[in-house]
Amino acid sequence: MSGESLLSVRGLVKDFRERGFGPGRTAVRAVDDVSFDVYPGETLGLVGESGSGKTTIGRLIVRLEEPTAGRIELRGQDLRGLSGRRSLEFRRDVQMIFQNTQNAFNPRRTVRSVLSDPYQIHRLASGAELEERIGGLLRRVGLTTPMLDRYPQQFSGGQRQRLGIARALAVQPALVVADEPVSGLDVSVQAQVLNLFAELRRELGLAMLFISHDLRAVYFLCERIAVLYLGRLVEIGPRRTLLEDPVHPYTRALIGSIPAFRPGGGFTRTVIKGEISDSEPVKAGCHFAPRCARWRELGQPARCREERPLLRPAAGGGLAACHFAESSPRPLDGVAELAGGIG
Amino acid sequence: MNDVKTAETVLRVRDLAVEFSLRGSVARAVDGVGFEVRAGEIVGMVGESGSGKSVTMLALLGLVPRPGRVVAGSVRLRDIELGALSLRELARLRGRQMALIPSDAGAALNPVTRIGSQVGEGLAAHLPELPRAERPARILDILKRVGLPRPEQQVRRYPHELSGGMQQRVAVAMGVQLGPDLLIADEPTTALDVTIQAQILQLLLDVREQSGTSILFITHDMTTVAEICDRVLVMYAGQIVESGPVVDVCTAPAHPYTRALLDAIPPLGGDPPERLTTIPGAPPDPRAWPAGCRFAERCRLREQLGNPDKCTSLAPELASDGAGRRSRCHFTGSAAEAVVR
Repeated sequence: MSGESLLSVRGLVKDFRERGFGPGRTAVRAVDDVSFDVYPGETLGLVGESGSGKTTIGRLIVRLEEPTAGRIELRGQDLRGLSGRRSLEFRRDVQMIFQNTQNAFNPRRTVRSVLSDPYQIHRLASGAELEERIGGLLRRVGLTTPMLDRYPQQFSGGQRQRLGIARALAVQPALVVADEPVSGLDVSVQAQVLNLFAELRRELGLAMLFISHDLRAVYFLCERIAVLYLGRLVEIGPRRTLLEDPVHPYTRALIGSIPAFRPGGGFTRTVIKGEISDSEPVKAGCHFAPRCARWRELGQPARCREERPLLRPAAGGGLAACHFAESSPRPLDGVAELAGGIG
Repeated sequence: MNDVKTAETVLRVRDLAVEFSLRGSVARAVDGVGFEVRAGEIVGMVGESGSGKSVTMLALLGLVPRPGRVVAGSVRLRDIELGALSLRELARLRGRQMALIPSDAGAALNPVTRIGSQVGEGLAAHLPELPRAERPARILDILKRVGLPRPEQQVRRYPHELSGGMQQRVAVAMGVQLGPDLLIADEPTTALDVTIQAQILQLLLDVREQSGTSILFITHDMTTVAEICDRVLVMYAGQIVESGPVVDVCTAPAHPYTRALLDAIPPLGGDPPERLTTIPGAPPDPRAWPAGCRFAERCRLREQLGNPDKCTSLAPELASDGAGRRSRCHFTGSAAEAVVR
């Protein structure tokens, strides 16, 4: 990717204090020195398991949370400490789409009222023009104008997600942060919503940060994919490189654990031992080391536990944070490292 | 499993129908469902929301909630007709001969009971002859078998102190501890991260391997079915529309709905398509099922065949090809060739 970035995230850190009173509460570092860019018109996929920090990053970008450290810049402008009118302008530029469509709407307000909000808050339209624009918006996301007087809970999950998309698009944002927008939808509905995202991107030149644990959806929609593990970015690169030639052992394990969908191929997944929450993260070293197959193969080198690996250019045009990335052999097709289970 | 075809039948469901009466209208959520599960077999039941798969599952367990009720059909587990059992007899059978693994173990486990006593409840209820003193050892043993790390510590913990993957392992432990003939797994991996999903699926395969347990695996995810199931039942609008060996159904679907469901899976690898294949429209209203084929309105094959009247006037039967495959389509056979990806 070249050219001016639209969104630039540098050294982003977010600590959450554990609940309780007084001193001595430990802080959990949910996002740990994360940097990346989103370019105009691009969709960047942010993938990772629960606890990887992907949702927190999304919330930091739309300023639902304040970062502990680091910079978030939109078109070169720092977003921290924006106030008043500038803050309002920013909210017009960056919009969010939520996962849980049940809770994303006020159940006591009609679709018309919900969709009028962005126009009124940002003083974009009123009266007959407002009506016309809301109607156009609704049609754009595949709904019909008679639906304007209904309430959100009268819609199916897929329709409500279309409403969420409409609400985000009303102010013609430059960047949309979509947090798991298709999980929880039926397969056929999910395909419809993914197609809608693809169309809108093409037609509106929208840039998007697409947060998901579903690599199939991410692969369909995102030119580049960033992989998070325990708050850190472990690999980022063009989608095909990342999928077909992953460098970081965690990326490999993650991709290996997706069902390959080879009917008759049997159970093809790689089963990695342990869970993201098992190990106390080694602050100094690599967070993935305790579960890393490569680390064990190499005889558990001390470097992995002592020195934090930084993102470095990897073959294929991406970046990976692994001390031993270049010494990794290509993943062998169909070879699964089976571990865990009964025994 | 090569011997599955000749193995004895563990579960036999015939013409099962479940109705919900609501404000004067009747919704027949499950409408004439019939299938079998043989010993040691993993059968996938696939369908989207509203297809009737969850209600079918509840009917098997005798747990259909009001205002729903089973209005027809028979469910036989080995040689026991479940419909003829009293509530008490049914309760004795559940857990011991037929057990459920819920989709959201976090919600299914009792939040104020420690893991150990929760697993022990099943033993106390179904194995009263087991001396109390021997229970802790049994509990540890089963938790070890399902791969729960550090079980000695976990038995003292409450469900919220466990991760989702560990909660699911506990749920599997509770399901398998009395060696049931049939495990009903209701979307057991849907709420889990993909790496944990892999662990739990591996665990289910291990359970089958070691104990020969039959598993009815209920899911909306064809890719998972393709990996771990021997046979698959595809549900749409309260009926089975296709069934057969999983490889055949996934590689050469006989019913246009199955085909559409497979086509909607986003491909992984290569250049992604500009758009995914979708199924237009929405499933029909269960309060007024259409007279003909329930998928007709959304069917691409029907469109390609020039919208024959037969599809909307005559309900297709679930016809068998004599080789273990069934399809509910007047034009089965033309489906595979006519629909192009």
